[in-house]
Amino acid sequence: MSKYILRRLIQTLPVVFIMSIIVFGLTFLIPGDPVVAILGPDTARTLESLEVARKELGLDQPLPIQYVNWLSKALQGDLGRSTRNKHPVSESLAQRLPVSIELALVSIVIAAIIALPLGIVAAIRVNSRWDLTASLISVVGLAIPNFWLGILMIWLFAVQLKWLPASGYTSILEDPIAGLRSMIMPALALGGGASAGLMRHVRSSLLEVLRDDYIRTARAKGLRERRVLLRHALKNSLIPVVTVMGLTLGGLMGGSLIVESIFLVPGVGSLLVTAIFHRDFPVIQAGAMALALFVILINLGVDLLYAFLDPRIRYE
Amino acid sequence: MPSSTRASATNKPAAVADVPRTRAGLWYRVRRNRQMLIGMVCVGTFALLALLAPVIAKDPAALDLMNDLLPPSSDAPFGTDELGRDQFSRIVYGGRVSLQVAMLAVGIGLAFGVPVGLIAGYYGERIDNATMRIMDGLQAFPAVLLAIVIASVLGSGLTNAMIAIGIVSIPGFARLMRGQTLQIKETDYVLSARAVGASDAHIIARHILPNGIAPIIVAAAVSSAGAILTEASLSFVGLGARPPTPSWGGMLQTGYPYLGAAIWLSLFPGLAIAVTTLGLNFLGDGLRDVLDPKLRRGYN
Repeated sequence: MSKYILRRLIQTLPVVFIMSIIVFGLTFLIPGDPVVAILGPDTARTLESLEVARKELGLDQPLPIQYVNWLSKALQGDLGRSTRNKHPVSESLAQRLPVSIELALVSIVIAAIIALPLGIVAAIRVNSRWDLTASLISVVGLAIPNFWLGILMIWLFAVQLKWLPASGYTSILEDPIAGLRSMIMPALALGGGASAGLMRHVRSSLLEVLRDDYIRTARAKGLRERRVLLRHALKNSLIPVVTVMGLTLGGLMGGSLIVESIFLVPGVGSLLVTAIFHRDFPVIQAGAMALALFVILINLGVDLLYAFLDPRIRYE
Repeated sequence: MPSSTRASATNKPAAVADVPRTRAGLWYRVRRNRQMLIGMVCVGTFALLALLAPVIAKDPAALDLMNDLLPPSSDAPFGTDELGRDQFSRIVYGGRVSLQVAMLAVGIGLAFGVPVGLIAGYYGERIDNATMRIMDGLQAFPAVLLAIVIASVLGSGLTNAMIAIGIVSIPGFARLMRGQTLQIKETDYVLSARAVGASDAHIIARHILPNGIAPIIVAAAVSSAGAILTEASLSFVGLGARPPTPSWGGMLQTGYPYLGAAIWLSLFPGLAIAVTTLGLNFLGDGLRDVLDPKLRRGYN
């Protein structure tokens, strides 16, 4: 297992490397002078000379050296300062990342709660009315923008029925009830959409397993259908679903940008959207990197979990 | 027929009925093609509306501040917005933006992704490794996030939004084309083409591309649905089409503050996005059946 972990870690490095180059390269895609992009137009205007600032920022150096400098700073937690409020970006990220992670986790739990039963029923009763209904829910779910779902929920549950707060955030760890009340709508908006894709995978994975010989054996030896499904089929079919859940979690991080800003959840997503409105490039860069890194780590974790659950993977 | 033996072995035909193979699959196919029909109707309707916009819709930018936030009526079937503009007309014109983005963004994805996939798959080894790692790096970002970041860096505007969405869709196409290429280049007809001295360019253009393109076409339909969703997200954060050009995502953004007073401003643009996306997804599923029956079982 340790050999597999090591190999998988080594495979992750190039991805992280390329990802960091993409983030680093963004600065140079910004139209205009990178000095202005890094310091912000207001600060840049007060400078006596752009050239001096360019030297101080190291922008006169060759690109590979700039990259190494940028990376070593980033590794030490120095991600620059917001051009809008001059806060160190790393501090804002440290504050907001846990909120986004909390939201993502609640969302994926909701996605699983919706997707598992529907996917399982669809596979057991394949081509039945249940199956059709489930696949209809899933295609519709895939087509609905998650932030639209969020807006409609706010209208129904906050504006019309006044059951839930329209926006705001309380940590579940501090006050579980208020936390859940503030989290349920954003998490449903994100998780509801994600459940559509997940459901398809649960269905196809279970269908695949139900075709296997050992299921026929289990049935042939007279086991109750319930036991065949729960003990034999479901357990094995859910292993690949774990991977899909990891990927789904990654997708959620992308969706969280707009959903967080609609519900005023103080996470990385809403930080990024505010930064985009103000063209606050250091924050955009660092926020994008933080989210991408989180996604890479999730996928790494999921792969390791997968290998732990299914020993065949390790010995490939 | 394997499925019948299986069914009799267990006395539980409903539970084990396979994803239909040949015979039962006929019904399945009909149902699937009905999906394709629905898809064509959904997408076709919006395409037609977009084409005929100047004929059927009013001026989408005509302000009428005396008649703002009117609920749907016979005069304004989808109501009016906060500036008194006719929302139906804005949705019709917004469809032009969405369809344009979908076509051009997917076009960019295809134009770069397909050649990258062909070359990586065909030449393999180092070229394959290098390009696929870059694709991995691009795919490390959640798609919407990367599109938003690229668009914010390039600056707001429709062209930049299309470029951003296009870039994000490159890795998917590249990966798919590479997979196809890897399979096809080992087939007998490619080997024999090489044996008679066909050049690499000839093999790629005349053998691999035509035989491997079916799943790419399916993916293009599905990606254009994704492109429309991403464009809506971009417009919602102010990175898409600039006002007063109406776009569905932008309409959702400007209508959102009036949620309590005018739900129709949030309802109809979202419905337009959902119906178009649904149609494109149906179309993709239908195309998959028609173009590439082999894929059907693997996917579902």
